[in-house]
Amino acid sequence: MRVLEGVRVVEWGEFVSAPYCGRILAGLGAEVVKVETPGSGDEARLHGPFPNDQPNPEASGLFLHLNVGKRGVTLDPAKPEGLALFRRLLSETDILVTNYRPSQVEALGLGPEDLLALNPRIIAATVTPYGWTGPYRNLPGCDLTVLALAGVSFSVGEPDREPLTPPYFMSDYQAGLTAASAIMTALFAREDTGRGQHVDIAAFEPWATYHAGATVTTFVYQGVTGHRDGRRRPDLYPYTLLPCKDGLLCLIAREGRQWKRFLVDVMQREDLADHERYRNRRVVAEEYPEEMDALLSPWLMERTREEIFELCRKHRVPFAPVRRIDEVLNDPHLAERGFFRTIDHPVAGSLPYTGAPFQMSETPWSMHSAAPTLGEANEEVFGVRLGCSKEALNALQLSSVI
Amino acid sequence: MLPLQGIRVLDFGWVMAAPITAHLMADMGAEVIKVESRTHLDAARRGRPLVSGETSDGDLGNEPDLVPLFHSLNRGKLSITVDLTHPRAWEAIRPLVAKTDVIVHNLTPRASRNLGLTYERLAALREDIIVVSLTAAGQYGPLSDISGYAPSVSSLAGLEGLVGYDGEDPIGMLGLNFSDPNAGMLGYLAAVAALWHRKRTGQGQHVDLSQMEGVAQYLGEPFMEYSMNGSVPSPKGPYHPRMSPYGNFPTSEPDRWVAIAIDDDLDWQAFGKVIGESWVEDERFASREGRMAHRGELNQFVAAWTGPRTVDEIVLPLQHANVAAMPVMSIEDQFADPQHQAREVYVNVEHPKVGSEPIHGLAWKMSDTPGQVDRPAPLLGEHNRYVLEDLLGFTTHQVQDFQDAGVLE
Repeated sequence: MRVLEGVRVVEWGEFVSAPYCGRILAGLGAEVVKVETPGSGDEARLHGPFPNDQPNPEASGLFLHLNVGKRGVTLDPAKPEGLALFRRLLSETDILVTNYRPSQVEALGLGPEDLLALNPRIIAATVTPYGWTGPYRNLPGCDLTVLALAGVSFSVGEPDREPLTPPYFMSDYQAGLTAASAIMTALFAREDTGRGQHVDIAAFEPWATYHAGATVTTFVYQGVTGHRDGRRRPDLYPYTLLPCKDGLLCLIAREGRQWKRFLVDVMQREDLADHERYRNRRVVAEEYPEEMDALLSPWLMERTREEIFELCRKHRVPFAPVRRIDEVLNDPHLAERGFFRTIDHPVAGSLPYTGAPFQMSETPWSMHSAAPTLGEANEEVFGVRLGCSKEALNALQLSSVI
Repeated sequence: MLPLQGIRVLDFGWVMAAPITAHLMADMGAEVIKVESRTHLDAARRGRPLVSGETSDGDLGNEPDLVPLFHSLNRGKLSITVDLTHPRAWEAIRPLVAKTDVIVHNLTPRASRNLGLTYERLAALREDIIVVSLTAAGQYGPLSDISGYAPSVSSLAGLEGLVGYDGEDPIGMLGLNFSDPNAGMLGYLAAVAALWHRKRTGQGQHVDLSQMEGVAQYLGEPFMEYSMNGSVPSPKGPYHPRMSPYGNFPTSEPDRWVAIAIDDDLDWQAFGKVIGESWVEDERFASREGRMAHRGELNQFVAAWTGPRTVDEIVLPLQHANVAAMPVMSIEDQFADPQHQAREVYVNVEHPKVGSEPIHGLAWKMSDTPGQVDRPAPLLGEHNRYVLEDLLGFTTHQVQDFQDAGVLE
């Protein structure tokens, strides 16, 4: 049995945040109907990557990745017939997740309060850059501006250069995850209350809260404002990426005994472990980390990432190779766990997809079908489920309502 | 109403990942009991103390009630101290597990076995128990024996190697410890999903959460790039294949930057009106394709325009023109920011040893069951008496006996 078997979700959104939330809910077993704009569809269809770099809205890698396991319909709620059909769909759904801006959603009379009036059991989740309330609610935003506001970008990059930002739209994914968690909580609560509710996700808030909450305390009490530290953390040695023979190695040891095991058992350098100058690891990190790097470097440069990883595992030192994407995709560990799953798509063909974010012993992850082609399930959803006749569907299609 | 009211959680977590799962459950009304020990002090209880105290003392674990990271990740929990390696520890743990709905931990499979905290043993004490195990690489598979910190896990998952300036070697994002809070939220999702399933079927279960997979699942785009075209992605700096200009640009203020992202032609025209310089009329920049093709040159023009201006002189007119622009904020900026304030991103709780203390608020806004952030992190062992006597029914004499035997260290 799947966790969300029998739960109906309407996903009305584009790009990453709402679609990723929909992907999780589909993975947990919900029936997810993805609503796209007739003709153009989700903007992720234009994003790529594309096979042989040939743009094709049915073969965009980002779209395929985010929309596995969903049914796809096209519907334009800005047209009156479209709005009426959309309201019928929403009146019998458990969950709506959208990432359109408040002004866009409210202009159509589809704000959370409108939806709760239509369907008191609905869980209406809005996923926006800055949230449904507050002075920035209608400001335009995307991953880059969200991570700027959230205090994240400020801490990524070299100290004397411009800040970077985490790659591949991490704030959109984190917002989608947070939305799925809040929706799951609202479903659990609904079992007792019988009521739906509005779930308001601001994409910057996961970072400002459970990711980096302690920064507010250290700022107010100790005046710590943070900064960028390149490829290391400045309060503990080792906490860094260092080059070895064939790439980078991630060296982090919070516990003194781990560091000692590395120096003594792995590197066989008891002299370094006992050296007065390198005993206080906070002092090394704050005052002369490069000096310590230079002492490790000759040993590291003679060995590959995987050789060092193996030695470290043997001696229970938690250092790890910085792996490339192709190495991750071909990792035997992930293969044994069945993490990547191959799914066939009518246009893009057979490709590996990342699988479940966690494995549940009694309720397996659901990932059976590829991402929908545009409007693929119009007949099934509008015809079979909502009872529109063939003629009515044709008319709706001719007037670009669906 | 609190959605997780009546749910009891044992947090055998350590540092960040599992403690975050448990703190999110406490926010939503669960009774969370953190099981910890003086003999193996949570690393989050070590570090520079918030008030009084010396850094070196804090680093040694002598100020366990004053470390800000611990306060942040453990607000709203109760604390009991039990030395799990003590031969009599399970006299206290066994009845506690029997009264528990969810157990979360981030022990390695080896440590879980050594401490007796395996799903099989816990389910024998309570059949419908939910156990959420957060590990570096999962419960089985060739890497399942590894331990790791957040950046080492995301190094293995491919993420750290994708962070860096365009065309340069990776530098990672070690300061974020991304994988820990990410796993914390994934663990919360799994726990509530399992609770919902238990409510419908009566069945408990074991959640095997590999932090490595929890990170790798976000990299669909670069995996597709490799699968479709055989190319191995490398760092590109701030990058969007359809947006230009797109980046963090300099200002006249020291170490203050602004993020600007231009999507379609409407954005570009609005942006051009604010800038009002000749280069915005350049035909090469008139279309999305043209702006992408010349993005390096375009970014230089933008940086030359932003460089002599203050953050406000850049951001306010752009936002007014409906262009995506935002200061790159430090925590100091965030603390003063009206959106953070309006949404109560930071709230105050009363801590017995610190006084009124700012702490992060809820991760979401829910209209019917909002949750709560109104209790501080517990002092070490603060709730030993409540848990052992009130909850489990041990007598004062028995608790004293545990104490004398060293079980409660």
